[in-house]
Amino acid sequence: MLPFKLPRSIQQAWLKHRLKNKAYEFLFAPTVDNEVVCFDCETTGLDPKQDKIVTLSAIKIRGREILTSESLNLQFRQYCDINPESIVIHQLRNMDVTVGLDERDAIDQFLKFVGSRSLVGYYLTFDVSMVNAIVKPWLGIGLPNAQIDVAELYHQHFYQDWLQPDHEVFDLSFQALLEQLNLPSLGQHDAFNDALMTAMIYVKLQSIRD
Amino acid sequence: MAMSELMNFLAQVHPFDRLPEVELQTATQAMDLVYFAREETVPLSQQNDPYLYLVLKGRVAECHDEEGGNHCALYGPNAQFGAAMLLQQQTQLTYHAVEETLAYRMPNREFQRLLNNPDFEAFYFNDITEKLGRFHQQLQIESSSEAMMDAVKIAPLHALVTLDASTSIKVCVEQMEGHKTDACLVNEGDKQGVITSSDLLRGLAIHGFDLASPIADMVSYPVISIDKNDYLFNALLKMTRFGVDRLMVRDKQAFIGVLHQKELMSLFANQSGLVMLTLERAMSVADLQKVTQQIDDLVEGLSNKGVKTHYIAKLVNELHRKLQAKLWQILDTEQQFTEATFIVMGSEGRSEQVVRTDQDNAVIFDDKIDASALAEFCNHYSAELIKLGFPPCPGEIMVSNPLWRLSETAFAAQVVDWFDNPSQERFMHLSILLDAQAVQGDPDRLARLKNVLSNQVQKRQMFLAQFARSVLQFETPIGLFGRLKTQKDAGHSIDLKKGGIFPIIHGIRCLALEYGVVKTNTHWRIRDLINHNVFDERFGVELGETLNFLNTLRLQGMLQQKALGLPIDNSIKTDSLSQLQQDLLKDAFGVVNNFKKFIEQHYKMEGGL
Repeated sequence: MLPFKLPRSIQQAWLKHRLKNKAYEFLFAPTVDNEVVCFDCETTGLDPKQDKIVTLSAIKIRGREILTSESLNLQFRQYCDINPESIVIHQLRNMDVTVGLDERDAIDQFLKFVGSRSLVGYYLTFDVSMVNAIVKPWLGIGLPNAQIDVAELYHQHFYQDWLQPDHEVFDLSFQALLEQLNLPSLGQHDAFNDALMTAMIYVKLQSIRD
Repeated sequence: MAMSELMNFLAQVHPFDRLPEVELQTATQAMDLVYFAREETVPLSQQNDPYLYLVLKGRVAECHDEEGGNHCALYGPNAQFGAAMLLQQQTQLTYHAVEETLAYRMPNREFQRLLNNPDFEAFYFNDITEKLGRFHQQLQIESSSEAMMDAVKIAPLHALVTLDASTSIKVCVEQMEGHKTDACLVNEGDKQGVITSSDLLRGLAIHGFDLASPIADMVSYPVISIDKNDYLFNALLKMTRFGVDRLMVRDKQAFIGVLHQKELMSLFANQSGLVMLTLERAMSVADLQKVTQQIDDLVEGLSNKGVKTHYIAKLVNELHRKLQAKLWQILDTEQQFTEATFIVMGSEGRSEQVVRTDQDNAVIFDDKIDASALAEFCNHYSAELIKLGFPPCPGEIMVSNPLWRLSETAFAAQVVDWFDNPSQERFMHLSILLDAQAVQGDPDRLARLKNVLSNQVQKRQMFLAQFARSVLQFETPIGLFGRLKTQKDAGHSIDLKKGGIFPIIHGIRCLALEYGVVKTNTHWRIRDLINHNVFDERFGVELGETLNFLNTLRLQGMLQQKALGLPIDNSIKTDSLSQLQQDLLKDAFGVVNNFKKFIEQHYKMEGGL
């Protein structure tokens, strides 16, 4: 990690240089105008060093259109047991994940789906580090795509210092975002629903900003 | 798996709920979710933006011109719009979000593909008659599959008769006769088989056995059986598979009875057969009390099974009449009042009362009868009827009221007086008398009275037009652009009786009177009026189906109110209706309006009151 932040163009050039497999140079192609990809993972736990991705859903957003018809839904084959606490959240039991793709095959599909588009997510750093745990040892770099976190966008837009009561944390929970933005909460938490709700939050915040 | 959210959503939207899962799956894969800010126009056109939209959240207004004027419909959550444009039924519509809206968007090519499914297509193309037909059909399919999921033990079984193979044909027939069955279990050593009445017939007539021959040679093996806890549909499958129409029913290892295909198939109607049987055997008022409860259960059962309300009504009214006649016979122990005719009027007379709301009845008696003894008897009769669960008539139109308990001569004089000195109330009396049917005693007394009535009508040219005016008395609760006009209460309710049921019933009653139709049931009157060429078949069927639909909704409302212990009335909360029901209701009121126009022209009335 560099001790200071480089301009994005230089950073990109540096990453492109370190990319081990030239077949993935499309990650640095010029960006497609007003298209982003929103994604979410369900994992075996919360530690990117140890835990694995169980399912990943990604949806393209073009302007204000959430292109669910162009979504990507991947299931990863598991080689270890899932943490019981996580099973409760995503309701995918060990027996439900005995089929699925090998993680590199899955991530290969994901990278091709995303291309050079910006990534959108809710507390995106976590999902990106889950993906990077697979990408880095393989391609030598983490995801080079620009990243937009809806929690951050929301905070920028709604947090007002003088309005915030003392000793109270500004509520950035997923549920709070949905309620504040008057968006529907879709039933079960799975990668697709979470990605879809995140996409709605993103589109709504974009429209408020415009 | 991942897109199940879209599947769930789509499965809530009619007519997508009629699609098989595979088709839904494919449909969801072609859909996008789009966002519109307030006041934003929703892109929709045959050429450039051919989409069907389904609202997830928010509201979209449909307008007839570009500027957003002529606002004519509003689409909220789970509603769909755009089909009219895609099918080129309407091309001048514009849509804009009246509040922030999230909507799923389906490309036209996908929509067109789904239209290949006839159930789905029907929603967009068919007129109300066909739509309603499918509505009932669907309910019936759903319910018959439910009944089929019941266990064999709920079906009526025939008694099990076990015989030895050495039994003679004669004894076998006697046993069958004695146990009212036509199949017996036969033991031959340690083998078991079945003999049926047709086996016996064949043996006697074709194979030349005589009555003393043992049955052994006619027995078929093996026994085809089913466990009493198995599903009814498995019983049906077994019958089909083995080409038999009887199954021996097992409880663990022992046989307990015989299931016939006939009973299996008629499980629905059987419940009514049971009531009929209890009624036939009733000896006391207490016995009748049980029957009323059974009738109520029957109504609820049949209604849930999607049986058309007018069939339920006919059945139930038939039972009610039998019950009232039976009560009369039980109470008239000395047979003093056989020369009196007990009639039911109004909805009971038309066989259209499903839930016992009130009683409208009267007695026409022979002039020779002792009026004071009859009065005492009728008071007792009314009281017992109320105890049986027929609520008293708020207008006192009951046999306990001397005005509705008259000798034939006095009744005829009263009818003439109704014509001579008309009033709103007397018009009402004429209406319910027109619908009357005799339940007990000589029906000719009623027929003669109705003759008096129609003679009066023929003498008075202006009468029918006056009589028909109340068809227009209440406004149809539908707006200019096809929106439902509801009351401003919590559930946005609509009075179905005033809004649609009464105008149809009364209009048809007037026409029936004019054309000398003697039937009283509205559906049968409509049929006769079609035969008289008063209106065409299509219009008549549409009217009948509309009445049926309104009555079905009313029955649902009443059953709900009854279950919640609320007072029973004729209103339905539109909030509790599905999108399909709301759409059908709009169509139904459209038909009511057409009928009102027809009546207005037919009787040359000048618009409204």
